[in-house]
Amino acid sequence: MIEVSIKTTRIELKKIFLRFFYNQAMIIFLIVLFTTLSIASGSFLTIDNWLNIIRQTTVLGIMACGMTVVIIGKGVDLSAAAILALCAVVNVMLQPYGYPVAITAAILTGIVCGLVNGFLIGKIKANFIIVTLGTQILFTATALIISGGRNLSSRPERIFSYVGAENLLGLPLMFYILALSFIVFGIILHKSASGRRLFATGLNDKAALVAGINSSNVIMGSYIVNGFIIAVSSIILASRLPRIRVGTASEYLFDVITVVVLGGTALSGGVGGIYKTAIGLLIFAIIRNGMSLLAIPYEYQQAIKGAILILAVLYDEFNRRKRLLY
Amino acid sequence: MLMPNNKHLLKMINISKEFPGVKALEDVSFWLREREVFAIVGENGAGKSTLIKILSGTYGNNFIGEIKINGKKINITGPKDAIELGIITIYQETSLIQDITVAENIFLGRQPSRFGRILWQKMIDDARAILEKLSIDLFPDEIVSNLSAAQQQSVEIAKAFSINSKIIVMDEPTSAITEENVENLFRIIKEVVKKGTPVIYISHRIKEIFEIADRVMVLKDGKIVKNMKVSETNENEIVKYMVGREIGDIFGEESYEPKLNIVLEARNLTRRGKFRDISFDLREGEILGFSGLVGAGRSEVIRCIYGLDHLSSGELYIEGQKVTIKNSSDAISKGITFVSEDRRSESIIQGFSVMANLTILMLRKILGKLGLINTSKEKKLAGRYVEEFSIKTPSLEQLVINLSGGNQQKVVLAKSLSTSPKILLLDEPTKGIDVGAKKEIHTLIKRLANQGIAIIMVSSELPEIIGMCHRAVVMREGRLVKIFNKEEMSEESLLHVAVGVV
Repeated sequence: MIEVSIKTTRIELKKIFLRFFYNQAMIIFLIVLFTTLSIASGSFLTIDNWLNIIRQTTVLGIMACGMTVVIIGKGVDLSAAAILALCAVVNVMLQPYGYPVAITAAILTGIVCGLVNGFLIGKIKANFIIVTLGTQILFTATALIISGGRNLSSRPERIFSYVGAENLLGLPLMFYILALSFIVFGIILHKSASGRRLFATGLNDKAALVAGINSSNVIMGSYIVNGFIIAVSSIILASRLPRIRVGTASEYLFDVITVVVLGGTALSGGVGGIYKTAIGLLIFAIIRNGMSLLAIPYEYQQAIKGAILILAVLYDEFNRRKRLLY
Repeated sequence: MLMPNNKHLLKMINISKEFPGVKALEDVSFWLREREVFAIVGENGAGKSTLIKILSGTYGNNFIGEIKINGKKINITGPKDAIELGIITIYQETSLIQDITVAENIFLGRQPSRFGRILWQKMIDDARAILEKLSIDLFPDEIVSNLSAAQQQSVEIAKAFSINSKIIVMDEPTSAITEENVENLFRIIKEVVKKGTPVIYISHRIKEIFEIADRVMVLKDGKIVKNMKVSETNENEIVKYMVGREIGDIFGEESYEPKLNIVLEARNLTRRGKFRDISFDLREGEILGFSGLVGAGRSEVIRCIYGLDHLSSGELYIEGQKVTIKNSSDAISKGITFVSEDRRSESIIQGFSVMANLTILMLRKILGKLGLINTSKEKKLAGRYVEEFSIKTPSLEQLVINLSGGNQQKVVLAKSLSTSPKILLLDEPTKGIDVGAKKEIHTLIKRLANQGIAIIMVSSELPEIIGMCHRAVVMREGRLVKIFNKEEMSEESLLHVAVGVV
């Protein structure tokens, strides 16, 4: 009997260690990454570099908050980048009418786009892949039509450039906006009744229905919220870039999904969170930054980004299986 | 323990298995002989499923002990090894592919072929031979989705039998089929056993053990309590070994007489294709049973009352007032609550903790400042329910799927009561739950009725209807045939009406 206890204790300990490792895999990976890059490149640990990272990832980070919400609801918004483009175009085109008008219009555009997605997916219950692929084309086309296909110059009004360039306590203003959106989304997602309902719907919409949760409204809401937050990030985008082209946004879709999945939010819905997305954002930002510091050619960077997404999805799938077994 | 000169096909010796914090099995041994049906019974958590999972290879090598087949020690690293060794397990959930034929399912993955081309006719003929051998009355070219649950189960048995099986393990085979089909199932099992393949039979239904099994092993808390011949024991004794108390009174104490005021009135409820002209009254403090065969339309009726499906016509009155219920939150706001038959996908939210499951219907009550969820309020409220309902869980944060079936059902019940309902709709509330937990839930239900809640209980277990209900509605093929008073109820009379024999 004693032999049995020792053997099972050893097995038990091994299992506890493994479980801990897998749960914290991303953080461990982050630490490894951080250390490697610090050694590999002298400019990695400089303030300038990090300010740069912040500026380059704010838009991505804010969009990731919205996408996290949608993915927890067991969906994905493939039109995210198109909404970003459309809002940016609307924003810039209405700048001549004044900053408040332009911003309000951009926000409204985002909400309307979210509404279209949300209605089709939440109420009509159409497949989210087909819908958001379709709206991606629709919104992009709308942006092209409105802008006449030309490059738009973002005439930076004072407030725009303020958002884009000004510093508060040594950090760019946009950092605070990013932090704020993480905090707000964190609260809404994890601490509000609506957030709880979203998790329930994402995990098991049939049970949620029986529990009196209006899952169509919850899903619709998730897409609307995403539309809104994309609009917010589009304002930041417009303030950073002197020129807006409709094509500017397309890379964002890929990156946003990578960030969310990398962080550990499950594509199968109901699992995940803002904290996780933040980790995912950090990992992604560091890898991207590291690649440019190490002067890796663009094509290779793209290849690596693709590989990361696939690894992220595999990690997600692996976690899903583990969860089921447990 | 057993006659030494009987050939032992399978021996599981000193099997132990531990999970973090739980000893699922401790030193369990048994022998299986040829041509016998060996039953394993025990409460949920007794270790039956763990034992079976070890045998079927789910846990690979992760256990202590030995398994020997025909005297030779075997090594199972995964389910595939088990199947190759001839150990075929039939679970409660069907593993058949619905859109193809019986023959194709039987020969799935091993179709007779020549030079890479499937010999369709041979497959059908071979399948027919197997079905005939077991006297199963089905066509081999029938599409599986056209078959009833019971018929599909026969196909699974035929499939298991034909895969060079040495041992067939059946896990709760009768939980999804009706009583008349159970006889047929037993006949097929007897055929299989006669032909040389022993069957390990796991069930909660003790009565069945006496009809089908030769020997029975009772497990409790991971250990063997008794291993004996069925002919040398009786129901009471088995239950005593399982739970440590007499079967006596599984239905709890007497319930009070229901009050006279009518809480719910249904007039001519109709849903095209499902049920027609269902009318009945429900009084405060009453338990109204809904009896009938599977498919009679009982669940459909209460789902419509709860707003999950739409009524084509008919009226509902709650406390005299006409109401229209459009969806579940509507129903909840009108004081109706519902416990689904399908626990896994409709009652519990699998990825949530016990606490989150308990509070999902009363989010408003756990909000604190700024309208955000107050964790300590949530813990307190959830804790109260856990205590009140004696829910066995290591902690509030434990994932609800890790609880036993009976405790999961208690969570579901507690959750449904968190809205302080007047009317409780229960669909097969004790399905798939062991004897001990069943009694607890029955006691709970009676307590609720005594407190004045009006309850409708759909059940396919006649003893449950008779033991629990004040009156019983019997439905057949979508119509309400008769409403029984307590005095009129007997298993025979209820079944007669359900089946249509006058």
